Amino acid sequence: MDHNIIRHKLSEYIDWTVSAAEKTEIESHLKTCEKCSNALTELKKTIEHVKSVDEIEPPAWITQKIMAKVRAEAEEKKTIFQRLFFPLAVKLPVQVVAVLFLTITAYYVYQNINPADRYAEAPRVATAKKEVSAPAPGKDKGAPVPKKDTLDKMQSSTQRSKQVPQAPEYKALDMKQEYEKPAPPTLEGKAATSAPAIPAERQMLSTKDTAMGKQAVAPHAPAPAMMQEQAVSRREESAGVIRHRELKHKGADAFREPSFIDFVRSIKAFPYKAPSVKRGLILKEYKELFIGMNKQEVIAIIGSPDYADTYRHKGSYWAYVLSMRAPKFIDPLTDQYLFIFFELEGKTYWIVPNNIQSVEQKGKPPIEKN
Amino acid sequence: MPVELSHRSEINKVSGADNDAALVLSSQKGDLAAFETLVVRHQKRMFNVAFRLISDYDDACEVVQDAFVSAYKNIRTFRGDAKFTTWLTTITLNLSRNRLKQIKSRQGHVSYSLDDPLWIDESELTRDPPSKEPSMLDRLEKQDIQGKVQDCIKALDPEYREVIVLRDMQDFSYDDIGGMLNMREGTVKSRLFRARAAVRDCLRRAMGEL
Repeated sequence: MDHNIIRHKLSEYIDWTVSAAEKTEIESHLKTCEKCSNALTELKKTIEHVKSVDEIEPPAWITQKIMAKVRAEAEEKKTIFQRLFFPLAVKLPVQVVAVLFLTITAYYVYQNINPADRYAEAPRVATAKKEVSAPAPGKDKGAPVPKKDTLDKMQSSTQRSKQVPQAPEYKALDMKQEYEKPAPPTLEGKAATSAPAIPAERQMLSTKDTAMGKQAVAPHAPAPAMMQEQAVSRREESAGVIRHRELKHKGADAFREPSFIDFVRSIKAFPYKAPSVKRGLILKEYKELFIGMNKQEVIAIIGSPDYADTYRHKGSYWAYVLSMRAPKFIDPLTDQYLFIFFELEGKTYWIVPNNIQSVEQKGKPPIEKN
Repeated sequence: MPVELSHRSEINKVSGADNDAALVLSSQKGDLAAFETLVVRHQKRMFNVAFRLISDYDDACEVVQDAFVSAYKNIRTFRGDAKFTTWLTTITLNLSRNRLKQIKSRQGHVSYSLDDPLWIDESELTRDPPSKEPSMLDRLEKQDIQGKVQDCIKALDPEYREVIVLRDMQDFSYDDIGGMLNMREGTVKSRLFRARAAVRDCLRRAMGEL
């Protein structure tokens, strides 16, 4: 073995960590090589010197200080433990409340999803009614009594509405039937004849819309009271007529105006596009809106707004949104909407369509006074 | 021909793994008295490990306190695969390393002050050795040698200092040291050889002859 290798091994040799073969080899080498054997002696002495260094006494207070810190640590650990697991009696009710809250929220979200479907349902009803009333003027001359199939249609639609009581617009149909009940079936046909087709349709639309204003808007409102009211109205389906009359007396103020946030939350996906029926209704009936109308009249024409907000502390405005790109805010550059401004007395003074072709604004913006 | 073991190994035998195991188990169940016994039993050794690595009495005191608190916090994670001493020493080692880094950066910050005298490289080596050891006051001659050994160990790079402190001062096995420093036995051997050779050269220079 080389001197260098031997000297490298000496450290291990001293610690008895060399193999038996190496040990024999090193020992036989050391006998002949003085330098290496001197190196071993020096290394041993070095190690002895290092080992001879006395141990130092730590300060006497160190045990106490360590234990004080450990006790503090133990206390802290305990409190953390208690915080996490101990107050199960408190935590369980909290969890129960949380679950209830989630359930209610889920219900509310579900309610918010429905309005779109309701809008989508609306046209079928409207067209069905049109079929009933519109052909009447022509046929009326020959037959004073409405044809049997026409009546059947009406009846079947009534039945259908009873089978699906959840949709408020069907209820609205029901109500219409109730209103016309006093008149005998023969007269009803005549009434339909004498009245021009369009007003009849308007009447229906407005009835539907007023009903919708009261019933369908409700989901926008998160107030529990409103939800309760809805639940009650569902239970009292048979008493729907009475209920409707009550609401009619209350007027437009009967429903809580939905806020922008309510509206945004009710939208499932962006970019949002209003249901085609709602869109069609607003575009078609826009010409019927005039300055000086009150909220109830506006609802009767184009339905309830998507959201409402105050305007510069001196009135409010209603928004009907036809399209909306992003949920953060209404973007005047891209979004299509209709704003209707009301003064404090509740009369419209400014009707502004945005990005909607072929319609012009009505009224004037408020004059700024410094 | 192994070098004869010093009195230190006697202490180590007393605080053997067998005695510790039961105390560790009790400590794991939250018995503070058992943990206190462990503290009393090991504090001196851990203090010496820290002191030899850091070369500062006060810092060593703090490191030992932190080491035991940390050991208490993590006592549940101690599985008994290693000896408690080894585990505890590993904690002390790591904390000492951190402390050394802190001291270094602390000195670095101080040296940037414009009002301070110029800081020369040697100043770190020639800093006064700690003066609080009572045993050192006894025999001046021995103190001289011990002081020189301490200086030589202090002058080593930390990684060499660690192996020589653990092996020659604390009598840990190569295996234990490998576990503590997270290195293979071969590395421990070669590092120890270099450390011993460096101390030898240093002592030779300091004392003229060994």
